[in-house]
Amino acid sequence: MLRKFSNSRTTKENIQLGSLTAFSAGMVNVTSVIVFFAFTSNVTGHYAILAEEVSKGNWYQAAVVFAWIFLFFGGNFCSNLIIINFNQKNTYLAHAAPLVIEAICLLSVGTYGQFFYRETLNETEVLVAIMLFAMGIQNGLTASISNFSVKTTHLTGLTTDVGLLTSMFTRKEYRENKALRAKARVLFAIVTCYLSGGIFAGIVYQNIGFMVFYIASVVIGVIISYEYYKIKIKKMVRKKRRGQKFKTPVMSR
Amino acid sequence: MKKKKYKPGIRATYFMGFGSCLVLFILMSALAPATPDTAILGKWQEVSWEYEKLPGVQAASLGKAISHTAKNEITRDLVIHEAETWEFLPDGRLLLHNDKNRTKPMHWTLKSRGNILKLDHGEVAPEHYNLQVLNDDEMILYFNTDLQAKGIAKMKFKKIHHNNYAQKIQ
Repeated sequence: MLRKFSNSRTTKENIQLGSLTAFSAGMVNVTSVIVFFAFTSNVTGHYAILAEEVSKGNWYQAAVVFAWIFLFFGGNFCSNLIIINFNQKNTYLAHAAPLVIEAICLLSVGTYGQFFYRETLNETEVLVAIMLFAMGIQNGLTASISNFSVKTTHLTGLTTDVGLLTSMFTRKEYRENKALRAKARVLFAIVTCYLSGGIFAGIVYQNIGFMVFYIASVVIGVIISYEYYKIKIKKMVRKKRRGQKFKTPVMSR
Repeated sequence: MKKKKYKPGIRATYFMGFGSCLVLFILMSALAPATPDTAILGKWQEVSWEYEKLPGVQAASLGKAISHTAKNEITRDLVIHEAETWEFLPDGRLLLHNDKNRTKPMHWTLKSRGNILKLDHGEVAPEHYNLQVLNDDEMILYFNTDLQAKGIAKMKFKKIHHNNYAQKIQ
């Protein structure tokens, strides 16, 4: 999921990464809408709101929305900056680091919300900002390592792609195209998981409140540890094989 | 591995780009006369109730004003029922005064970017109103109602300034 880069990735890896990150993004977005009345994963609406607030002369609100958009941008920027600078040294670490930052952001929002949140406007604005940064980080990572084919936090472009693909599949030549079918599988997996994450968060929030963010962090943790586990196992297998190769001639004597 | 060197021109462009975003943010914040959570503080007198979106063609012929009877029906299950004056206190309390000098205390908070007003009574589920306009003199709240209005109701408030009190006393 996290070790491979760009075109060397398989559809299965894209589906795994896309599904898990989309699930957590759906959870975060729905929870923030329930608690803070603000979207934290899609930025298109924020651009419209920014324009509206500027045109009305509501400068405070405009500044807040501007900061939110900038933080989402900042998340994408940081994510890709880490990847392009450390990818050649250690691909896994370069790809896992943005997810670690995202998990830290989500955990801090969950902890603050659970134990310290007094529902003031400033707190709300800051917590939404942190979540937008986290979502920017996640979107930047998935888009960057999948060669822009997996975007998990906003579904505008994705729904467009699904619409285009669905219309293309009305013709046999496109239906039989393996690349298009693979793309469709990735997109449908993301849509389904984003929606499931949102529904799950909506139900679970009623009982556990801000701890929903802990679950979202656990999902991110699963992605990181799954890859780490696979790397460890691969190393162990290689070591064993090397050991066997070394032992074989001794035994033959 | 050879360390990448960035050209000074590129660095400057990045610093200028991020710096101008920061300056823009500071400028916009400075331009704002007050944050919504301070601008809302004080006493607000209810002025009018109107339909923002009219329920139908029949209603359009009658005008946008919501009658007293309709208003009572719309607010029957709401915490703001019969409230004439709303007093927002800095400690998060909201006192709803009616014409019979009865006061109902509750808790207020602003959500999102300060455009959602949450009123919490404690006994019933919290209510949310859309804070459409908020300035020194006027506050306009929108809320969705599925009762008789069948659309968005618009509540207009006028701020009671301290001068008004002084004038009244005189």
